[in-house]
Amino acid sequence: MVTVSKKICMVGDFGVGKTSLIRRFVDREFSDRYLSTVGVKISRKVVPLPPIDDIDELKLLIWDLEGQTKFKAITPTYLQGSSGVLVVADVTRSETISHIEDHLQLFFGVNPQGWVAIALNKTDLLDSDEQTYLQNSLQFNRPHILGPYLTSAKSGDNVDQIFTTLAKKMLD
Amino acid sequence: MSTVTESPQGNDFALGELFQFLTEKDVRPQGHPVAAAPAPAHNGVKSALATDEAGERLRQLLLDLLDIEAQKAKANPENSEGEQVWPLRLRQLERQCRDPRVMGQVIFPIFAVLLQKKIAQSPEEIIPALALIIDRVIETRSLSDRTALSKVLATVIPGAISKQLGEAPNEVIQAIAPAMGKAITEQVRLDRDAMVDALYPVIGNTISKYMGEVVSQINDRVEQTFSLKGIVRRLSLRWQGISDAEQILRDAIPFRVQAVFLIHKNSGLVIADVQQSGAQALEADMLAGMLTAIRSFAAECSTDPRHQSELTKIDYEDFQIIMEVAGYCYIAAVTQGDPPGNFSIKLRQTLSSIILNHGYGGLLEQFDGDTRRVPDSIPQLLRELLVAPTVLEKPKVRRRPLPVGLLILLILLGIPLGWVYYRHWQKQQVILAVDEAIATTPTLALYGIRPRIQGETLILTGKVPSPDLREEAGTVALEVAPKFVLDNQLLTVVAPPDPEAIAAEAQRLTQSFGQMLGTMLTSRYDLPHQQLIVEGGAIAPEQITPLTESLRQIPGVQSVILTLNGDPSPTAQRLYFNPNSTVIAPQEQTQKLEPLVAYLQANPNIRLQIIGHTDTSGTEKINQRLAPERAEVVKAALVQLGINGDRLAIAGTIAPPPQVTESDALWLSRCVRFQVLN
Repeated sequence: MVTVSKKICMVGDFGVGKTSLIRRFVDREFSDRYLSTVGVKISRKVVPLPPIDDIDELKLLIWDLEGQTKFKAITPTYLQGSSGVLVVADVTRSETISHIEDHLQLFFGVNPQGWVAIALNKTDLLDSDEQTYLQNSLQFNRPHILGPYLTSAKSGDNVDQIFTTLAKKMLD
Repeated sequence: MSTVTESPQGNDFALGELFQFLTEKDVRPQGHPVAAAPAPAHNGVKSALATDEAGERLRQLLLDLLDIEAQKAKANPENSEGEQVWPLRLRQLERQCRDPRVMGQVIFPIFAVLLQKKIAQSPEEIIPALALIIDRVIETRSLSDRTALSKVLATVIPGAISKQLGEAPNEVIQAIAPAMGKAITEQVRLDRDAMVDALYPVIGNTISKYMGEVVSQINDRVEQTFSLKGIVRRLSLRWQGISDAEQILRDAIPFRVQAVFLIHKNSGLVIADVQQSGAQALEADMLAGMLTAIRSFAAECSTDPRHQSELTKIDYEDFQIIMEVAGYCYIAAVTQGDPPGNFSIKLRQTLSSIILNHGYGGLLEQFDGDTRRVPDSIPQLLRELLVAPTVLEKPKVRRRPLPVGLLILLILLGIPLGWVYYRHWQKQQVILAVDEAIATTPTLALYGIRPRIQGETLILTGKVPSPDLREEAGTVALEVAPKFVLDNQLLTVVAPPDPEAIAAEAQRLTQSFGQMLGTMLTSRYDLPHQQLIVEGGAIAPEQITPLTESLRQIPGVQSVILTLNGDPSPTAQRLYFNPNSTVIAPQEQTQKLEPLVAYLQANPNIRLQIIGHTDTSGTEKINQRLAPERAEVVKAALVQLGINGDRLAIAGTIAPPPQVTESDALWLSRCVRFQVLN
């Protein structure tokens, strides 16, 4: 049994649903209650993998970082040693989407070889047209960037996919 | 009731029937002429008796009964039986009163009513009566139906306790106190968490405070102790740079490493981890992640941006996480108890050897979570920290060397001093042995013989009374100390003579000579001149030398002076006899009788009285006979030698001769002496 551990971070503005995405992915739960994350919370999820390079499973250590506000930036030190990052934005708050670029720069500044997956969260609040429009309008055609994925922590849409896709990319 | 029993009359109404009447409606004796009281119409007995009216009715009824009997007697005056019926009925009534069955039947239906009435009228009378059995009532009830009683009491007990707590709190406390311990124990057993939660806010602080005080007290005491042990202990601890309090804590809680992690500094991923078997395994990934996050947070919060500060220790409860940080990784050790000073050194050593052996090639720097690339030697090194957390492989802290020069000097001084002391001790042992040997030899024990040792020579000093003892002392000493050369310096000193012993010895010898020579000799000792003066009758000149030589042999007699009475007169001689004998010894014959014969023949006018004596040994009767016989024998001998028997008279006496007392030797009395008559 070979297990490889990887650290990924959740980055995004406050209240975009980082913690909810982790809860959905790790605990298969969702709650409407908003609890602000203070500092860092670490979760662990073992992702079973088809045999690639003799690795049986991937242990994801997911660092849920305190969301960025205009008063407080994300602590770059937390991003160190992170193979990948999940940049999250709230589809109902446009400013959170516009901040994606900042987060990308922050992460690549720390980990130039890292992988980024972009999650546009709370898509359960949009109708299908809006979703299509959003997906078409936002394109990050750059290396080491995956997505954007239209995710919903509430419905669970694309949650497992975004995490497992990122995990596999980190192993390559 | 009382009306009935006290009445001198009676009637044939049974008491039971009376009460039957009272408790039933409209039952009245037929032909009753006086219907004084109206019958209760529809109400029950209870309601009838619940008022004073009932009592009144009862009284009235009894009076009526008496009245009936009186009328009956009037109606039949000729009936003499009527007079005799009264006592009979009275007895019957009394009997019924005493029959519990009848009384019970009578009272039973109205008992509750009576009781209620009585309570309502005068409760103070009922209370003492009921008080006697109230406890037994409750007890009986509790036995028969515990649940029901519990239910009844449940509502009042909390209130009762509250009230009592307000009024007499000490009583409640004393009642509850004995069960408190068990109650808490039971509660802990039932719901441990509830108890922990209840006590947590106070217990933690209390214990901390208490421990702090105890340690402080112990430390103060140790600080104040200036005993050798205390000083040595303190010096030893100071040597290692440990305070006393630290040492006491260490003694109390043994240091233990529960787990060691090697963690990638940036990502917080676990490179390697080892944990104590048996203990609950720690979540290495989570712990490493959180530790890394905390370290990052601490680094971010660092006030001085010029150099990165590192978090080295986290305390939680009685555990500590001790961290040793290198460039790309750090070791986190989860420990229990107070870590000894060596442990941080050991941590540093372990991390150093990991970096030195595996740091190149980017293994640590570029660790990506793939533990297959981690060599086995890293967990092995970490395991060392678990197993022997304080054993240093290459101690870099050099202990202060002992002052070797001083040590050598001490040894150099110590050896000869020790040798000298040892030799001295050895000599003392020999001297003691010789002393003991002399003391246990009876002939030597009295004399102050002092042994001492000079080099290889055993010297004996002191005084002994004879050369033999001197030699003996030497022999005894050499027996116990054969390795030594003997220098016998004992002086032979003649002990000063005992005057009494000398005088007695001289007297004994003088008298023996006197007896042998047939004369009386006495002696006295002159101590200052160590002279022996011998007095007595004349002895033959050839006997003088043997006498003086013999006396001179007595120790303490330096010279002998003889003061004898010149030539003895033949008549002054005394002939001595053996005990119970009348035979004249031959030497007596030649030395005394023959000279006497010559003297008598030369002096033919002299007449002699021959007086025989005996000693006091025999019976008086024998002696009375023996004394004249001895005189007779001597007269016969003189006659035989040619002396005219007329010139010789004889006499005998059992008294001792003149100059002889009873204390003198007996032989001096067994004699015949002569007395010139004219």
